[in-house]
Amino acid sequence: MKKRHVVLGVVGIVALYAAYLVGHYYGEESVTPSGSTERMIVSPTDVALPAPRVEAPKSIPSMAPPTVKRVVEHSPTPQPSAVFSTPEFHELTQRAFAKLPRMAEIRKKGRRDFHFAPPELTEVADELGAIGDSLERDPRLVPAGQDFLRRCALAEDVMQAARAVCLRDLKHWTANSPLDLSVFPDVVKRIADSLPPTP
Amino acid sequence: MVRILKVLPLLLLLGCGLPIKNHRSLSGEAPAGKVAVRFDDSVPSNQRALVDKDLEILSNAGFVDQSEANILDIPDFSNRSLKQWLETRFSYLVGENYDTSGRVERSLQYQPFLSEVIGPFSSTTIMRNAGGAVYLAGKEEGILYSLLVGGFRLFITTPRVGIFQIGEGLFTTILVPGTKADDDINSYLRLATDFHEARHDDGSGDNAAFPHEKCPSGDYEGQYACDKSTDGPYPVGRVIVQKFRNQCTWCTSAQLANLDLQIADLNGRVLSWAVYNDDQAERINP
Repeated sequence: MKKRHVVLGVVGIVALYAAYLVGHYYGEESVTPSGSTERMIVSPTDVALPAPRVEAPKSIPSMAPPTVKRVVEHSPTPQPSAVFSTPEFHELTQRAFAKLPRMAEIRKKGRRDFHFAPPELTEVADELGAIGDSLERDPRLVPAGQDFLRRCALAEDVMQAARAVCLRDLKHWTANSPLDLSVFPDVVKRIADSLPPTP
Repeated sequence: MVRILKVLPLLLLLGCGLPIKNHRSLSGEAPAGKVAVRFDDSVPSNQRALVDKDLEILSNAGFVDQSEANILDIPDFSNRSLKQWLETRFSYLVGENYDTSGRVERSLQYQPFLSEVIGPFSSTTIMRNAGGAVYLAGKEEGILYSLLVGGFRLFITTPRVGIFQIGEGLFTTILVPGTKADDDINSYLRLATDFHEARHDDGSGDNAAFPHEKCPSGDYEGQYACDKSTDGPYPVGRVIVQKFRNQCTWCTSAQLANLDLQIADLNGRVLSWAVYNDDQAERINP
């Protein structure tokens, strides 16, 4: 057996194992956890993806693999990776405000069993996620984001759970400036304080 | 030797191609084995498959954060503890067409108790603890009931009998927008529902089956959709959602927002005067 064969073989094994490890760890952000049939689209234009969910200082830019975008079938409006201009962001917050869950509207649909949360509660989740991502990436949008979050947390016709999530996020995005908490109902404050930190 | 070296990369490749478990445990803890649950014939096969998948995920949840274990009255959130907790309570599953009216076995002297009425089961109903509901009905009426589940005649002598009725709503109503029923994030929510309902197996006296309390105010005012126990069904479901949420490094921002809305909703259902209640399940000796 030639020494060259041994070296080539060992190099081959190491390279394949390294490729496997890279694929395994980087693939985590792009492979559906459930293994369902998501389509993967590779696009050179998708450079502004949200960072993977790791704890990192806000000053560090996104470290997400830049060219892979998740597209989930049946997805209605999952555009959390888009970069918004100020008018587009304004439109996003308007859409989010309109989609906030309102109990009066839910009852009008005839829903009567509230043993579990009505599905309408989470219909605004895509927009809330996109707003958070936008504020993370573009600090110029923060004042408009604060305005939306304040309106959401104060809206009396909106379900308390959604108001609490908005208040938690408002506190996160106004961490360096004063926020008058006395205007928010105690129950909303209590729920907001019990939530995990803003992602 | 050269042959082995040629074959080894191929073996490695084959190894890489083996199905990798979807849910990723962060603790590195060994899987605990799946909760053994018996399915009645009334549960459709597609629903069985999804429940099986959920229980598989639970067996390898690998929660790192061990806080709030007192809500479930368990020592920690290890895979083993979670499995034991659920396996003690979550025993039989019946489908939405299953008749839960129960067979009257005989009259019994129960302590007087005001129970929840068993409502009609519709296709949008998510899940209910049928055993607990029948037990409470029997307690109120002074009748010992039995149910035939999966070929077993079960005497409903305790809410801990562990019979759960699942409906299509478990797989359609509890569905994060933009995902499919078999996506992991939906398993997290269904597992939280399992744990919620499993808590209705517990309790004694006025707190038998940990009944929900009428909400005095808020979104669910007037509905029996609140808890008077800090370790009641809503806190139990909430802590399970939150554990999965806190280590879901692969969740998108939208999915995290979804889980946070669920957590907020569940937190809002615990009454401000709620107290910790003993979870020992009462039982009768007919």
